[in-house]
Amino acid sequence: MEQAHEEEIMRITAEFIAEQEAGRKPRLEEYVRRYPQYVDEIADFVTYYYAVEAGLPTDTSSVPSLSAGSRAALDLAWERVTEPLAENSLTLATLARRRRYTLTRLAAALDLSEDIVAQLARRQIEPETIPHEVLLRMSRVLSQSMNIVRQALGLPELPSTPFLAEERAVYHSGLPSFSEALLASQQLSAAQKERWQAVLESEDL
Amino acid sequence: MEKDIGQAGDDVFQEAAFQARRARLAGLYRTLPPYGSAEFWHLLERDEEAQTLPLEVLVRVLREEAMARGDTQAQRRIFAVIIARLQCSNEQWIHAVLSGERLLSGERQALAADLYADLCEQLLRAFLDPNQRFWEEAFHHCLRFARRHVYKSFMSREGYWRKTTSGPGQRIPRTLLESLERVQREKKREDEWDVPDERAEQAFLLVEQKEIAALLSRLPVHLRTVVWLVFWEDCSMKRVGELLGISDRTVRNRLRAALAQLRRVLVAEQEVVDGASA
Repeated sequence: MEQAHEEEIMRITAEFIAEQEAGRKPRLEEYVRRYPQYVDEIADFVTYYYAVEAGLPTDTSSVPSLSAGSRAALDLAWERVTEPLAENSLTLATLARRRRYTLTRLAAALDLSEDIVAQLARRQIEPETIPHEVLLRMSRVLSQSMNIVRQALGLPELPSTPFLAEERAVYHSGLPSFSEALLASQQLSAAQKERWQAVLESEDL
Repeated sequence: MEKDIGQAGDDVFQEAAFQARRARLAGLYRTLPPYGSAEFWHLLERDEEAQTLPLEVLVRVLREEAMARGDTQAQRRIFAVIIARLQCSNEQWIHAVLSGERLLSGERQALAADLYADLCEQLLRAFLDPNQRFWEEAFHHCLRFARRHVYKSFMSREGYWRKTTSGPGQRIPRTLLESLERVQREKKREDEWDVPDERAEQAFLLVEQKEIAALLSRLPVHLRTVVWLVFWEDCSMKRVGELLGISDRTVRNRLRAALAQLRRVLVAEQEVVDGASA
């Protein structure tokens, strides 16, 4: 959402909340009537507000000591925002650590097994054979751009045109392919193997 | 788009309120002690002084003083003050987000820490972006938007994770869904015959606002709006159709689709629960 657009939604919903906090029971109906162009955005915020925010304290007049949880969150946020990832430290382990993912949690988040994720982290799988779906999931789970994920896995930056299947073969380096790693995995369940086989087939790998 | 007189009046009133607030905050900013002085830090960090300094002013100080001077140490110090002042609110927000989730205690702790770190990151990025001016006017409202953003990303990420591991999702109270379905049936009759129905109203009143909002968060927003207007605000289907520029029939179809979708989630969840207890 554009900055100006989001700010407009914020101003409108701020009025809704001001009414609510003044005990006036604002109606979504009224706001939909007044701002028909923002129906979805207003409804989305209002439902979120009542589901999660309503009733939370808004008094921020004291400065308590930071709890251990606050301190850890603050330190991690500071690191993520102000300390850019050095290119030579772009590994899956670094990205996972920044998101507080252990190997087990990352594997579960990706619907993979720990042994496969460990191989990916150590770059022991031929990068060109890793399905795009794996990269997509990593990008989402680790909140990183596709190019960062690609670099972490030892892949070059996104090509301007997609590779053809025969071009991929050129990059074969003797490492096992993702498909071979999948078959050899001792930890991946049969159902997971089946799901990933379907992904491999759909991506022509 | 043309505005009616009532709306124009509301807008003027709203703008006047914003202007008054902006002027008050600007006044407070101007009267701050010299940047970096002991008095300055005392005002920011001492508990008994903090209540006089709105968070909007702190964001402005961070941007116009610490950032403008490239003083990263001060940026971090001011950020820490803001996080400390929000600590109680943020911790309760995390609790509210995770309260509907069935989680093991270790898992809950890990997810809470993730959420907190994501939230702090979102806040820090916003504070360091001088284009996000509204933080300097309405901090708490911006905070709600920032938290909503984190909540959505988190739910999308963790929802996916939970789905792939077949774990249970958020609890949907069956009685709540049944209430909605009952109201829908009554509403349909009411709309057809235009007769108010006390039973429908009673059923509707049983539904807690928080629960209904949490339930609706699971629906696509175009379905959510219709359900909210009909069930929570008691609008007729005809009125909802007029407001949204769609036919009564589309309203009815959206309601049906919404309830079917919620029913599917409930059934899937019940299967998980049954499976776990078998």
